[in-house]
Amino acid sequence: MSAVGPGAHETAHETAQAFIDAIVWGEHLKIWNLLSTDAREYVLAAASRKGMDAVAIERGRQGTWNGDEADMFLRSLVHGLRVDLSGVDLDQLVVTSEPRILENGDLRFELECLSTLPDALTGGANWAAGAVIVCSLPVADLAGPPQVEWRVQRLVPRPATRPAS
Amino acid sequence: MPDLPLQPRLQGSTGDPEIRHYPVAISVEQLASGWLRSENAADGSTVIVDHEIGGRQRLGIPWKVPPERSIACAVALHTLVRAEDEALLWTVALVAAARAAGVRPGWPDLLFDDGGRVVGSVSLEVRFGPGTVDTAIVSLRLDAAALDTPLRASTEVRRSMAVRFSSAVQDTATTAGSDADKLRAEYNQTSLLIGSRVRALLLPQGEVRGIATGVSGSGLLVVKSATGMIEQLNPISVLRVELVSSARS
Repeated sequence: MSAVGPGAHETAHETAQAFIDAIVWGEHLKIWNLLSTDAREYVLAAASRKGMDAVAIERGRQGTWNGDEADMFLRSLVHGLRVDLSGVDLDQLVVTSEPRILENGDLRFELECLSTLPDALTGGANWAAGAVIVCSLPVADLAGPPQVEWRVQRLVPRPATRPAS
Repeated sequence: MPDLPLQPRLQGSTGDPEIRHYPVAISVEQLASGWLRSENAADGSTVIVDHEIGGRQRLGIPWKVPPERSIACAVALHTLVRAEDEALLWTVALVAAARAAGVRPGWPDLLFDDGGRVVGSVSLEVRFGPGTVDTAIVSLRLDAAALDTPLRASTEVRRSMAVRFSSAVQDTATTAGSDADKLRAEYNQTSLLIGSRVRALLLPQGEVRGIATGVSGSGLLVVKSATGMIEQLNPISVLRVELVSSARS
């Protein structure tokens, strides 16, 4: 398990929130930069299954693809992520600040849609809208204390259909 | 002749666009389209209707402004625009409306005042020929109460606006054919959206957000994200485009 220092959850939360904002605003390079290595491999594997050229995939893995290639690939990624969130009102989407710590040390931040219905109908609860799972990435810094950066491991989409418990 | 509701009331003089002014009709597009089809109406031929029974904006959205406040006119246009550049005609319509009424165009159809309030819309009906848009009906609907005109739209107000719009449509259509960059520059300068954060609601679903940077050579709205992702929106796939005030509204 990675070393998680005080305040780390807050940074993880910022990462999760930045990831959602990047999807909403189509910031394709930011989305790619926020993905963990595993998540990038997952995306590249999906692209491979859908027929993307193996050499181009390897260039993506190495970070050596050209601008147009990256734009085209990442635009598809953004569209795919938007489809994942298509059952959610993006204006009302928030990342909850209290994560659940998973067995492998990853943090799961629940997504909620702010309820626009009367409290009498929903009990004042927001609508569950999926989750963002972030993982820590050790950063080598020999001079200082161990540090981690947070990357998005997975987006767990679901339509906002019932109040969050 | 009996004074039938569909009988033209006014005729344009020589030099002006030919104008047919009706007290009541289903919509301006219907009459302009019929005129174009059955009598091959000349460029700039203009229909004005005082009271539209079923006036509709783009995508069939009803025009709900009361007749006494509504200014509705439609202009017939023969074009040589390439079929793939059909969307450019929306820019023609928007720039013409901006010139005629002093409004700020949105995209692809809504018109705003300086405060961002919707004051009207343009719409477009096209007929294709081989590889080109043969004819187009360009319509303008305005809420007189929202403009610097009398609260009640009189015959003179409607006619004056229609003449200005007809002239502007012909000018902008000519510009589109000879110097499309100039037309795009004028749109970019007057539009309320360009340079702002926008949210485009797509059809049948989905949305695109980013900063509207202008219209492309084919009349598509270009939306750019902070990391440079560019999306070009075609009017046919857009429900509406809204301004977004903050990062996540």
